[in-house]
Amino acid sequence: MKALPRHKRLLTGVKIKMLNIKSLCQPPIWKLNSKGPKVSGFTLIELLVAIVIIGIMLTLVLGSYWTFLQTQQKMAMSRELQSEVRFAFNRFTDKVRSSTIDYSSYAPGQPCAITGSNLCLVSLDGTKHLFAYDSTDQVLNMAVVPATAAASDPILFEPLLSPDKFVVTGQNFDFSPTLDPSILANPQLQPKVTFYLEVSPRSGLYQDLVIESQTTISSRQY
Amino acid sequence: MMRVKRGFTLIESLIVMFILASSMTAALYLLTTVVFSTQQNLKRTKAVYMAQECTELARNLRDTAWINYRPWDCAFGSVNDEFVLSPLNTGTVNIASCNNMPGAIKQEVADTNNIVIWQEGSTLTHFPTGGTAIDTGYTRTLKHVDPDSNSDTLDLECTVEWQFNGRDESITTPQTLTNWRKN
Repeated sequence: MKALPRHKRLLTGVKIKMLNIKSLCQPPIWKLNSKGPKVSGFTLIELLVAIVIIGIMLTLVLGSYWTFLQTQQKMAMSRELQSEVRFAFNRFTDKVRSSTIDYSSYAPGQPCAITGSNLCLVSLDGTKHLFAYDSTDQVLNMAVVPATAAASDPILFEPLLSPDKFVVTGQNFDFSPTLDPSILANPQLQPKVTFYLEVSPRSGLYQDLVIESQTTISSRQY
Repeated sequence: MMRVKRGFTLIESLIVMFILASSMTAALYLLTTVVFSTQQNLKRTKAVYMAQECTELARNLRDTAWINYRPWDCAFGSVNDEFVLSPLNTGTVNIASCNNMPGAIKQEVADTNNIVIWQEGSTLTHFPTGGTAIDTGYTRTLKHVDPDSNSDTLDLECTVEWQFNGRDESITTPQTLTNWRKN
């Protein structure tokens, strides 16, 4: 191209180099051989097919992986439930073995007469152990009343299983004999208590998980 | 021209895939085992408490015999007798020698021939509504073992059986009762 006369130029002193488009479109030198340029790569269709296949595989893999994570969480919750149930049963076992049924507390006006499902035990030294089920909150409570406490003292109940995490959906205390065997006219049987417990998670995804278990303990007091 | 070598050969990539697959399979096996063992533990915990119930009931029978001045081992039959303590099966124990001992194990039904139908206090893992028994999947057997003929000790064995994933599982709890009251 001929250079414009100086008075028609926009910028003086600037040299513009025309680009050789052909050199830009050529492949780099190391891909050139005597037979012509050889550029290897993937066609568009190959890429599309590969992406579709990868998408299908990912769907399957991620789906099963997500299910696996859910199962792990459910198993962790199940393990927690199991350990809580074991704890409750151990508590129950210890209390029943070391005491006997407190028949006097089942009389009208006494602690075990008021509430529905409950258990009143008394040890040799007069300490009373109470188990009471609160059906509105679905919590199993326990209390220890020393022998020196007066009848009018309020009974301090504490939950047996963490109430914010677990809910007791069912329980039953069944003891035998129902009448005090220390009175000779009543059937003479060694006291024993049957404990049945149903526990579920209180909130969260796995509220259908439930553990139900039962055991019976015979009193060691003679 | 330079000979340029780029990329992986087919055999290399096959070997890599093989190694990856086997290592991931091993990891997956570990993780699924955890899931199985948690579920297995759940059933086992229930079975342990049932076995505990069985041994405590046996002890209770001995204690009740003491209280009633009966022979201390009258409720356990002879050696190798087995009593099934499940809601769908009832074991029978001849208590002629127990001489009408009052309901030691929450006696549901008493036969007129002096035989106590030995039924445990409540159905396994479920308190009955109206007294109907349900199949909980567990069976429980109390066996009088006692290989030695020491008249003041009694060996018992309580076996709880259940099924997990089609396999039979069981636990056995041995117990020795002694007549320390010399009744």
